[in-house]
Amino acid sequence: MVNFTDDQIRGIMDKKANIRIMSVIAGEDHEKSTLTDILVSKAGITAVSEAGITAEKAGESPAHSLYYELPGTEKDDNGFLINLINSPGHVDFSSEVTAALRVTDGALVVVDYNSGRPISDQTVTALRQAIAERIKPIVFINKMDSALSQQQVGKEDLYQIFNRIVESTNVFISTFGGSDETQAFRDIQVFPNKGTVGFGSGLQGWAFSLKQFAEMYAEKFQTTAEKLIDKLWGDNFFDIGTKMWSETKSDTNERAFCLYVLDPIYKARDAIMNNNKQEIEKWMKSTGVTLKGDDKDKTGVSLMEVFMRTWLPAGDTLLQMIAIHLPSPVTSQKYRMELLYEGPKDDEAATGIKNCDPKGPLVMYISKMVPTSDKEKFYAFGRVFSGTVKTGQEVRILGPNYVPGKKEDLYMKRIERTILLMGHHIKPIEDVPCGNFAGLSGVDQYLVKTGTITTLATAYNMKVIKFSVSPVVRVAVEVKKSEDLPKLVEGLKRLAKSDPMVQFIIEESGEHIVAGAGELHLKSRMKDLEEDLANIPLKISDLFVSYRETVTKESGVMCISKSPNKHNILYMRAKACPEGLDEAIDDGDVTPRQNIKTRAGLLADKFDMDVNEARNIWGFGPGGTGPNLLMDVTNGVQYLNEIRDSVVTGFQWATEKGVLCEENMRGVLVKVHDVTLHADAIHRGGAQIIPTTRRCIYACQLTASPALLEPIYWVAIKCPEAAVGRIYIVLKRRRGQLIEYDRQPGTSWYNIKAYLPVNESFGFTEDLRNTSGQAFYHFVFDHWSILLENKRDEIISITRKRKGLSEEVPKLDQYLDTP
Amino acid sequence: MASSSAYYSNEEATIQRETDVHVADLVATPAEKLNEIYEIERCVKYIKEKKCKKVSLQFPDSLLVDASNVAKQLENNCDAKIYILADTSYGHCDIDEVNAKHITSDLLIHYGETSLTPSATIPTLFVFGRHPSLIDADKVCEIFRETYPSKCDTRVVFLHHVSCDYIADSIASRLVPEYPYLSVGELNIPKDPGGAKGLQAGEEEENILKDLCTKSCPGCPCRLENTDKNKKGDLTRPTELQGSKLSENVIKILVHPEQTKNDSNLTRINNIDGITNSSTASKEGEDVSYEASETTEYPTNISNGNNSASKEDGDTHHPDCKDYVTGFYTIPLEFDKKLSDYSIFYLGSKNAESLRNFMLTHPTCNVHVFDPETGIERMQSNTNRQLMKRYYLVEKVKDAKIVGILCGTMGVAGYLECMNYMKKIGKAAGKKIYTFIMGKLTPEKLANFLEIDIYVLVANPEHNNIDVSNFYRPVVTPYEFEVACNPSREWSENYVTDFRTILPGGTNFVEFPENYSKDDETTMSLISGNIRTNNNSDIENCTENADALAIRNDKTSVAVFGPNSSAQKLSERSWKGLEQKLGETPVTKATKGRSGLPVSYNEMIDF
Repeated sequence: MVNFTDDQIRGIMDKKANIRIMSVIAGEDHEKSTLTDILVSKAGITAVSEAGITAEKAGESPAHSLYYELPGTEKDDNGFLINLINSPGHVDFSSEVTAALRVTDGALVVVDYNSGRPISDQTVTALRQAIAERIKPIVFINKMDSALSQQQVGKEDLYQIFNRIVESTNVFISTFGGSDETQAFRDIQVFPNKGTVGFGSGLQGWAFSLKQFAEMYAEKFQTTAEKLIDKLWGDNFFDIGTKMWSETKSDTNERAFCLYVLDPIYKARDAIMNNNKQEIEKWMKSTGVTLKGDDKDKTGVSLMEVFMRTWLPAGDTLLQMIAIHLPSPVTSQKYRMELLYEGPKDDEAATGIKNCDPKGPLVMYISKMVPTSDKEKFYAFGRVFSGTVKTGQEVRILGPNYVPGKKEDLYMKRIERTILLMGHHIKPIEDVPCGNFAGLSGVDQYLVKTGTITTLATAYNMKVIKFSVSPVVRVAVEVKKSEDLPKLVEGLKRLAKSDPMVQFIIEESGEHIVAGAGELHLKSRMKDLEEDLANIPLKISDLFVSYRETVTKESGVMCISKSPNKHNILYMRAKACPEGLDEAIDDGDVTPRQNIKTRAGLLADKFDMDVNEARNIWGFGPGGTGPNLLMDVTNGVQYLNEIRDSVVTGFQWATEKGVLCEENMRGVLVKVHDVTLHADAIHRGGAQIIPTTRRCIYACQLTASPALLEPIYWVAIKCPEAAVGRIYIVLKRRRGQLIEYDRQPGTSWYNIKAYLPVNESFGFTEDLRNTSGQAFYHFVFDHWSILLENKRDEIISITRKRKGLSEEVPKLDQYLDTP
Repeated sequence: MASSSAYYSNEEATIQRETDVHVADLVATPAEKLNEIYEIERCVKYIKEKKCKKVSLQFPDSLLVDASNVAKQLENNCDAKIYILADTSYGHCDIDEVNAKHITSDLLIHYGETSLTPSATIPTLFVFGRHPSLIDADKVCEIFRETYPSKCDTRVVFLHHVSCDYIADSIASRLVPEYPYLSVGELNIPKDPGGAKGLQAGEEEENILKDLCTKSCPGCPCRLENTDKNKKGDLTRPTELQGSKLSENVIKILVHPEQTKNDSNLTRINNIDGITNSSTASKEGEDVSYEASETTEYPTNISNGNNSASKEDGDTHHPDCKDYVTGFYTIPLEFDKKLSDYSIFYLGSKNAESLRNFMLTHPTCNVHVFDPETGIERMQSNTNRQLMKRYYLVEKVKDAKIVGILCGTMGVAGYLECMNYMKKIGKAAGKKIYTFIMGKLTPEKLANFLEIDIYVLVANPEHNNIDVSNFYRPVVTPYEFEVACNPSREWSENYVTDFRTILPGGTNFVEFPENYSKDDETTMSLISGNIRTNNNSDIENCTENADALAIRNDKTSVAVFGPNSSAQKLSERSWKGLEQKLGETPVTKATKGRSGLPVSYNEMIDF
């Protein structure tokens, strides 16, 4: 741990080339926190409290600040400030990982040496996101201790395993980053001989990179470490007898990695495990390890652990890798700016970000809301990308819906206090320059989860984070005593704020619905809510999923609805959107804000739509942006433009609450074919048109083979051969659909991939545990799929009942009129 | 033949318009029962006594079949001119005083189900009519005994629907001797000019006193004595006495408004904005009668659940008894008990609005309903659900930026004050307010105003909770609006249905905080999940200083409009009114267009 005064901390914050911002990407076990602990205990900054100022405790720590002095560099700029973002491991919480990636520049990817697959699916997902955000990875191959103790793996075998891991990681990196043409962000593949891959054991606290070994041997070979390091990886073989390097294996030579890196470790292990005192003494001497106190009496595995930890301490190795190989904000913001900033790439804000200019206009991205210790308010936590954020500064707070020039989602406020969040402590600070993290108080109420803070009036938003999971699993929460309702609402608000993946809405039926990413996620959040955030007795419903309404065919008849005064008639038909269009709208590839001609061209090219029709899109719904389209295909109708707004409004209304069970519609394309209007403006107003449009769309939906869509998870299961059969049965019983399965090369483990309806995933964990104790799995929301007919009717009636509607779906004749 | 003029619509269409009532179901009451059901005698007596000249009769749609017979009977028996009011503007519970005033009638007799809300401007006599099913008092008593078998330790409140009022007393009087802890709820009939009950109160004070003691004080020792031996003890005066006296006062006041001006007993309460600007009818009369009812008699002003009767000196009270007043009913309760300690036995239709309101306001009560048509039933309280639904609406209001206040009554006392109050708190909460006056609400009428986010209906509490599922925008009650706008008011499980009590001076009034900063209300919307703010400073600046000189800004633009201004809304519409299309359309001669009302155009002219 390093002790610093306020001034010292503030001082290193100015050296922006020596700042590193990173997070740890790891699979679903405890290794991530182990590694974080190693780093923090090695280099964590403790703020020295000046007299009278005690650091306030923060509720949870979003980040750790580390300080590391890189050996062998000049004294003045060898100090590195490393900001390490915390993020949980389970996939249900992967939104947190995503949120963390946005504010980091680099990532330490932890890969298990002996896991069934080279890299777990979850790590791959995070890695993909990281590279899409242009975040530079370095790799740490973990759990090497098990290679040394549990399994007797030969040196050459171990090299092959390592090599395979490195290669497959690089395959992922180049696949994900393949389309990235940026010059500056090209060489992101990892190589042990570049020092970007580390090996070791987080559990035992030791790690090494080839750089250390190269430095060790440089003198002996009378060469430089830089030259030697290349020999230590790949097909470089050394013949001790002839002292000759070769690129091919022969009987007399040995791979340099095995000979110079693994061999000493193996030999030391053998000595320790055989309790050969003489040998141990020799190794201690040559590595310069001296044991202290109780460690001297240790033998066997524990001695091995202490020896390795003292010889090759993980903290130093990792910090070195981070300091040398991860980019500073100055470097990274150059190539990340165009991905981060929505506005023109040459305006003042963009330039400020690009140059990481502390004197530029303030641009700060808020990535997370961190609850204060009393849980009443939040600190807005984020990274300053340009300029300097100061206490008392007047800033513009841009919410995600802000459009430059408009006033929606724009707030102008003064920053009450700028603080540093370091580990579990917060510390007030006068100002924070770009390239650093800061916490702000006094702005939390203007932001839901994320947002942009700026001083520049013309600044655009920083791009909103796209999450890889969707909140598709829901529960309804009810209070036991109705006077507790406001408390519940307050608690839910806080919950929604502190977790980016939790959505909280009140439905018209009065139900308080909380949506989250998965079973585990929601259950743990509900526990937080009941015990901590709201602190009142609650009734929590069973989990259920959200459905979408859609159509599968084109309306069989022209749907005709008359207005209440019978003087206006609408003629419409509905059909399913071209495949993939709903997702394109979700992904923001097709948006209501696009230029009409560009959009029409896109729709014609990609989705095979008629260009002329595609130019006449009246609206997206629900909410003006949803995945349903309203198109005008009429011909020369008089006054049509007068009723357009009313028709769009009716369309929003209908798509928000479909006719089947008042769920949102999805993938429905409604075409207005003809309109008969009363000649008098007063009789074709909103009053006449809005309800009629809604009725007509309902008729369209009912005549176009309506269907329900249910959310589907993509599941990856890893299990021993013996369990495969039973897992099939579990999947089948739960309406799962097998995509592929294969055997893990060289192991008895199988990888199964399948689609599983989210609705059927509840209790899957227990089910799997009962059938096969050894299976590992993870889910990710993948797509919407049409629900089978028999199941559909059941869901419709359950949903209608829950919403307090009549159980029968309304009949067509309620909506369809005769001309 | 087009027979319409520019001012009224085609009469044929009006006649053919259908009401919600199924004509086939209506059977005229036989003449011999008319007197009994419509209380002809009582009405005649009253008309004669008050020497009324013009009397309006108001019937709900379902009783209209009997209207002419009733009118004839009344006319035959007194000299007053009788009118039947044809069209109810809002709902049948509402007193249609606007119509009554058209013919300057001096008395309105209201038949059928009512909300028992006092009329602001016209003396009203309520005739409840009778429930269509015959109620067998013996059977009701029997069922009552079955429902509550243990007589000595069950605390029950007996309530009834207005249509069962004629028989309720006789049932209650039978049960009271058996159940020492039975308390009988009384209808809060506005003690209007000489309404039968009001008269009684004055003339037969002594009897009432007796009556009250035997029936209204549950657990009172004197009554226990009564039930034992019918022995009269040294009775202390029950609380109603003061009430009766006061109501007598009120009767006079209402009949002779000019007297009250000199009545020093009546102190002016809060002078509400706009009350004196009331444009309707006799200004003073309205003022005074409103206040009179506020200070003395109108029951809901006596706070919910508080011991309201102990206003006067406590010595004369029975120590164990207090009055609990809730919307419709006055319920005597034991001093140390709450209404939730009692079970409720309700006589009347289970779908009645008054029952629903009662259950909404008292969600914790255990209610049994005897419906003359279907029999006894335990009402499952789904009030929690209902309250959550209401809470959703409160959230909707918080989200709303533009609010429409609907005037759904002209008759209920205090509606104008309520509307003004709604406007005041709405503006204070940063909302833009428009006021609408319309008759019966229909989805079509409201959908004409696209930009309105939510409507507040100021109306009779009995039809506040109209079904709005087909409406484009939700309609909320004044209480919900106030919960959303007034930061000092906290959501509680005691739902308030009567808007009068939340007005300044009302029992549920909560003062709007003075230095309330709208910034505090910037928070997350629970409907959309976005941030909402009520900071409409732009609009306020525009409207408040509309007549002031504006400082020209650098860009020499004429006006700056905020996100909620009508100019902004207009600019967001794709169609902004008549399009000139200069030069795009051929020049033609002007031709004669159509005339008349659009509904009755009989030809479509092709332009």
